[in-house]
Amino acid sequence: MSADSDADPVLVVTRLDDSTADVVIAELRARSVPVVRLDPGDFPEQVTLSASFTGQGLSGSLRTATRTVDLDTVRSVYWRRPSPYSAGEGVAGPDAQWCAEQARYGLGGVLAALPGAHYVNHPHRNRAAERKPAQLAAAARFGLSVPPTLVTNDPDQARRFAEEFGPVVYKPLWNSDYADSDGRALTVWVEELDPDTLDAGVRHTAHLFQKLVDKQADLRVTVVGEELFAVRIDGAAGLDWRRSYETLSYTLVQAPPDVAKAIHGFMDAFGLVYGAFDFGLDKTGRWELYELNPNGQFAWFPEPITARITAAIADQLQHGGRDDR
Amino acid sequence: MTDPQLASRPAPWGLGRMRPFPPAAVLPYTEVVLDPATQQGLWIGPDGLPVVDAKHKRSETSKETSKQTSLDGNSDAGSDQEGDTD
Repeated sequence: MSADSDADPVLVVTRLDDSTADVVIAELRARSVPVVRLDPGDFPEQVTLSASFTGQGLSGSLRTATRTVDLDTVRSVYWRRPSPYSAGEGVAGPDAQWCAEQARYGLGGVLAALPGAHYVNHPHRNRAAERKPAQLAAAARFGLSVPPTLVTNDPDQARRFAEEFGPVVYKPLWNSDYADSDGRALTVWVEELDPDTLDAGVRHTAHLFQKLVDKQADLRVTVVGEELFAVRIDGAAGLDWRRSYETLSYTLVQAPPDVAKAIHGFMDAFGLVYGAFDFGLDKTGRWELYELNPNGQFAWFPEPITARITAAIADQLQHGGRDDR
Repeated sequence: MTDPQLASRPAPWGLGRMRPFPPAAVLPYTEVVLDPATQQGLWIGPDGLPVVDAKHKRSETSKETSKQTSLDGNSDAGSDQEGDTD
């Protein structure tokens, strides 16, 4: 801990091409808060780590291509979109994989253990919160309404679910990069499914099926600490608003008190400071939780909304850790 | 040791739901470099000069944007999950 805590930096962990992080960094700069940007993917070639552990705890330094930071002076950590851990040049195959895993547990381990730092969010909390089964189970615990959902690799169960709750949609349990044989990137959009297509292919892996919400609009609730920004999204061309950004309009709305309370309970349970919740607003006005994105994007909102969220995140990064120090 | 039933099984069902991203325009920048002073990314255009307004793609990392080669779209503004999350 340095004597002059105003000089203590915020560590922004992300890849180079992250314009959302840039927005937050600009806000911190405007507040004269020092920032060190680090991409763990630059380790070991451009990043040098030296962390010591003694009776006094963790200390040492981290050097990037442009900055050096004392590990025990980091006031907060903004965990965004780091690129994958890697090995040094000239190392390939299983050796490279081994090095990358050592980096994950070594550099990543240190980054997750900075003494007194306030994490937005802690990477391990993100990890735990991003699994949909955990989210759906927690939603019930906190009184958030969720559409009936089935996770299965049993085609018969899937068909039965579709008969009982149809129309239903399919959602992947995790969005991973996927490309066709021509190298064209593909993804799964939320669309109604035809139960007749549910064949033995379901047996191959876990699939998530969900009752279609008869919605009047979509809702994105971005939470930063105690602040809650609920945005109503209108104008989606189909079921999936992500497919047609140019037609969307955004309105800040008030979340119902019971929903807001449940969201905060949810955040606390998962140890999150930041979170982005997606809801469907059904025809009766009920908020139906789809999912939580613990590290969800926000800077694509119209400027007045983005500015408020940015300020709230900057508040967390600037002041959030002080009480713990 | 191939199970004949497994071999004759159709492709993983969820993969059949994969669709392309919406078609869109060409990216206006060619690379991103770190501005050492500000610690922000500097978006460099094809002419080698910084792109002044990078706001068009604030929602995403360029990797996601380049998937659909869109100026302002994104694969999923909120829930993109890729690379190392810890």
